[in-house]
Amino acid sequence: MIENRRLSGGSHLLRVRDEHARRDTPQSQPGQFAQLLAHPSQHLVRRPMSIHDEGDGWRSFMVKPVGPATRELVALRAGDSVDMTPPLGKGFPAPGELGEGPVFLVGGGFGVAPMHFMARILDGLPQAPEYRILYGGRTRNDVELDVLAGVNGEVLTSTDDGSLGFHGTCVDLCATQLDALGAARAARAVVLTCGPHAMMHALHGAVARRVHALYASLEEVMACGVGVCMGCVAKTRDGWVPICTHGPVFRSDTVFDLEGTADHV
Amino acid sequence: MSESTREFPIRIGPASFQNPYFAASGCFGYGLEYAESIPPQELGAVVTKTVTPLPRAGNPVPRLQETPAGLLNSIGLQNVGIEAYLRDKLEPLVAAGGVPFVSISAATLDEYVRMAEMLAPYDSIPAVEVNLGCPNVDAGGDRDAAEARAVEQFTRTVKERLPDKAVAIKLTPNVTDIVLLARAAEQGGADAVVAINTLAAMDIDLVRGRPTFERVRAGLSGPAIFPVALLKVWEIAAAVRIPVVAVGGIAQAEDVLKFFMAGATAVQLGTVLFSNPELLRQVRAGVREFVQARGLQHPHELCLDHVPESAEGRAQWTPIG
Repeated sequence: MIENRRLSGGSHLLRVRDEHARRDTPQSQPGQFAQLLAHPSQHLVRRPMSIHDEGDGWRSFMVKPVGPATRELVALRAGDSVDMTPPLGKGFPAPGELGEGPVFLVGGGFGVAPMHFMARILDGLPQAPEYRILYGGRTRNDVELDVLAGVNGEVLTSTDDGSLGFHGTCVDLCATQLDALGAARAARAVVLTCGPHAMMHALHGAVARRVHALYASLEEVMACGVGVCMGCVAKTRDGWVPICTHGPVFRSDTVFDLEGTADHV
Repeated sequence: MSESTREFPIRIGPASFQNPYFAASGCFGYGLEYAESIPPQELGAVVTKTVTPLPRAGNPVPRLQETPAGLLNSIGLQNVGIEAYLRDKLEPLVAAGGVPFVSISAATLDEYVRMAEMLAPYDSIPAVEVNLGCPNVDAGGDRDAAEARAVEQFTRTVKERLPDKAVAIKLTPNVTDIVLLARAAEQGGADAVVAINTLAAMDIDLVRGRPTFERVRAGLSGPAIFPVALLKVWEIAAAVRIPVVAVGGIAQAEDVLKFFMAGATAVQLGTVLFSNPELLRQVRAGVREFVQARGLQHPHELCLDHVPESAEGRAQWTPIG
């Protein structure tokens, strides 16, 4: 652990040493994850965390203390040991595959973490597509803007209770943004999202047909992280697949609204 | 096959293995998924993900929940089915130098007949594990194999069709007395018994106010179950003449040594591999050091004398010097 910084809403930004990590030529993609556990730990399996950023010799993760293993992680101090895997899974499409924009990075709660990584990479491109981050939470406490420090793009916030930014969900906010673009521009938009499953499902229902593509980063309890244990599966058009190796990022139309799709392996 | 991994070879029925350290079913995929960190050729055998007569999609998510020193799973035998296994998964493992110990599960005797007949022609498969103890399926799981008569029948059905392969029967601990099942497997012609499968268990999601897993029942694995597995292995080893393959919560070399002392012929590493890919090497080094320090040739010499329980109900044995 190089640095443990508490964020405004109680999550922590953990910077962990990884000698292979490079800022200008990242060895990981936004949407990929690593599995982390304090070392030593009271616990058995490492917890998957989406990569928030990669720098020279380190990676950062946004960790919300929601259970005993994450509480153990956020209690670590600089110099403590962390058991961390290399980057795992398939991330969001490369920046070059996002078209000319507009690109919407929609983060619900701590699902905003990979949006930081993507925004930081887009900021570094000579011809970056126009992008906006839409960051939603239930209350202003869930919207920890300091996790997006240093990002150049515009950040719009939403809260369910109206305590910060747009009054509504980030799904509503995204729909409003697309309305403002007009149908033709909206049809060229790409939306990347990470957040609670229900929120991403709702986003798929609200915008998937209006935009060029919607990609969602799914979350599930994991053990092995490499497709062995079959613990973290998602139903896709190709059957039940491990999220850790086939995802966590999927095109939304391959994982949502699959009624009538046969159950096969 | 490197020299360092050919150490303490063992025999189970007609099959021999270069070392007594196997990967447990469900924790090593079909054998190559972990190849970068754990080359399958370093293991005595890879007990593969259980295959069934037809592909299975498995259970709904969530499928996993960590507990103190344990892991609950409700995977439900998600697998590609025996046909796709033999077509796509077997050869790559063999080509990599791995030894496939193929795990099978079925719901009926007829299905076991068909699966055994499909496996019989494959010379590259030296051994088959019959999974009679999965708590996460409706048919063919631990409840259907909780009776000695059923275990004997399933065992005989498979072994008669696979006379040239080692047939090991994996038993459920979710019964009153696992020893009866072990004796039934021996009676049915098994070359070994494997103990134990996961302990049936559950959890409740406080926020949702309902059982965590849709089927309620799940299987508990990990270090939490090691002392349970140790007792079962001890009891079974005292009661049968065939080899006992010990599995359940191995987290360090010391656990493996205890299984050998309890009477195990071989051991399977499982859940802890998910977080510690060094486990195999740690076990190998720890067992070697312990055995050499005592001037022994093979960890089987560690086996304690299993004296039947005395009138006072106390087991007795002669400690190793």
